[in-house]
Amino acid sequence: MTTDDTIARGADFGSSGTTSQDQVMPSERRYAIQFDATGGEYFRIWIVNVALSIITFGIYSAWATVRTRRYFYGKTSLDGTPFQFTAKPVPILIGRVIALAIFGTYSVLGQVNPLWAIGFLFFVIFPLLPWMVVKSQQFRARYTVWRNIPFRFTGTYKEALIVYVGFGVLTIITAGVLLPLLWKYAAKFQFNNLHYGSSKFSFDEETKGFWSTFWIAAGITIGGAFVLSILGSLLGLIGGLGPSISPAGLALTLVMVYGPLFFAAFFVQVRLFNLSLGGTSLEDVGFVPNMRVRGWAWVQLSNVLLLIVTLGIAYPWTLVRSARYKLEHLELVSDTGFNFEGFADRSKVGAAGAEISSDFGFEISLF
Amino acid sequence: MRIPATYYNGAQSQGDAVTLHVDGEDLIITLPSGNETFCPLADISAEPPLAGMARHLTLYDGSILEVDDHPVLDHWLKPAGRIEAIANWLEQRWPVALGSVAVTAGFLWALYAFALPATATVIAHNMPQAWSRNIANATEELLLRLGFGPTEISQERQEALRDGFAPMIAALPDPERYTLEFRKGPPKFGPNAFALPGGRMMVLDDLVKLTDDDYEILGVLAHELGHAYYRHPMRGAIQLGILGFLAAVTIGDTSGLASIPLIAVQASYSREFETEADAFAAQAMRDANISPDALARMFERLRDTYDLSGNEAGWFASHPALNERIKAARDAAK
Repeated sequence: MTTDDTIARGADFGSSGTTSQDQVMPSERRYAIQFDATGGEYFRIWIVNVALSIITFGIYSAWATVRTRRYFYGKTSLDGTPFQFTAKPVPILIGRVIALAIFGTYSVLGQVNPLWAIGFLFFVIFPLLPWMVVKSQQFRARYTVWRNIPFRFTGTYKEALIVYVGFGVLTIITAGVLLPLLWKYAAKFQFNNLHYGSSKFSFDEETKGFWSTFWIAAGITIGGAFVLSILGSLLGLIGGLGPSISPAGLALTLVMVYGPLFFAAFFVQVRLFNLSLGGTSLEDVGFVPNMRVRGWAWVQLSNVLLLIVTLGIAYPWTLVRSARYKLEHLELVSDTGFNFEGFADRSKVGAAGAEISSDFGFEISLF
Repeated sequence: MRIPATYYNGAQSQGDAVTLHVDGEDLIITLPSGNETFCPLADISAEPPLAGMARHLTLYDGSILEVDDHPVLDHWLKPAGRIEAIANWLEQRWPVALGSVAVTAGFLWALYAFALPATATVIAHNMPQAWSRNIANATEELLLRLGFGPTEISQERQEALRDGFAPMIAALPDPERYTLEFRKGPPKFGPNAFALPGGRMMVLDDLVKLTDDDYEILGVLAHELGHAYYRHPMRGAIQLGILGFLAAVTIGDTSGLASIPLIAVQASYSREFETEADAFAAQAMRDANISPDALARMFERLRDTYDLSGNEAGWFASHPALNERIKAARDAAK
């Protein structure tokens, strides 16, 4: 387990040379990612976005998306240069309208006859799923720009079909036991098909740790629920679900049900971030992610608390805090600096796929 | 006026430190070597300003200049996107942010106060009877598990109460919807009566034993009939469901933690329901030739028998402002 724990990109870099002397590389430099967003600044952007979206019956939401993304990208810098989000609002609006039409059809069918809705889901949405995954990755990559060079995504429909539908179905059939394979091949699909200019990212398939992540998470969930339920019944608070639920009893019930599940979720999020990025490189540039479960759990739990206490007003601060934690726990290493070449084809990518997938909750996101 | 910038040509990731100035209709770019190149101002598209961050100016050939945001840029360049310019102006100002909070809060309040109850009412009234019956069965099963047993009220008393209640039910459209059950509840439920979804009502022995005056019990039953008639239980459940869904969607929290504040939200809805049910009870009692004063007497009895601040608040645990309601029932009796 401990060998899995060390997401040792450093070791991989060490072995890229031919002699053992190469283990110490004086020329290798570490680059931290700088994140300068502040909650107050983003709060003003966010609340104006919300108010304008309400006033314009949702039309402004496309502009809101662009301004939000531009803010977060622009406040993220690598080697002194900020990232750019370059998508335009109108294509996003068009994508959103298409997505809404499809989602609306689904909802109306569900009202008329649930069977039709299920049929629609199976025969229209599911076959579209791989396409949506590909399109959203393409969209996200195409409009992420650094130093005037956009990212590109070249994953295919077939690959997405194999990973998300193939392994997805396998995972369901095996009651979740094959989930680690889905995680791993999803990471491979996302990163092995990603390009920056004319350079390609690659994901090391030998990356270890997906299986142990799964077993430990399962252990936390089952073991935690078991221990807590024994504790709870000892305290005799479970029975207190009368018409007058005591706040203490309610809190304890919530902790018992969600506590281990939450903790397992944080653990999986941290592990997948570390494993996916740790296994990825871009030519001589390597990634050193070092998110910690304790730190991430603190950020997430305090965020939930902030949201409850402020009735949701703290939402912008919670987003900034989550993004900051992730970005501050990712370093890049390179021994030649960042010298990349652009790619000639800069054709546009439509937003419909990305919009539909986020409507149906299939969005895959790093941020 | 010269300002520094970084020039990225798009072919290589390395940038060049340059300086910019304007000469006539052209932007002049001075390269590190001292050489100059130019781009007509009309061929430059500038990223709209945002939070004072660096601006990116795209030249006619696709190369970009990264410049710290500077007021002079807006003099040099044609305005970029009116919508974004307005948004940027709004985003800079705290008073606007406060105004936006007010707009948002007003919108949410309107949703909560008008749209949500109206939607819940429409759904509750158009829901197939089988669904509400299923939900009522599930609720009853839960109550049984909490220690609800068979009633100990004498057959005669039950019959008398049913006979008194029957005309009130008969006066309603669709009277077969409404059923009444007597049950013995666990002690902590106290003197209590409920309306369940689907028109099912339940009265507990402790409540019936509280008084020998059947009219007072009929007052409580009339009140519960009001809940059943207006489909309050189902409407409440639907409202809570919709709110929970919205909270989960907006907060992005499917864990259910977001639903905690909703319990407080629901309390204000139920206060409205109580007032509505009281008014219904007064009318139904008058129609059945019973003075609504019986309901007022029952309220007083509950108030006097049980300590309001104590644990055994019973029937009026969710029935606040009891004195007001006694007064309202007395007024209706006049």
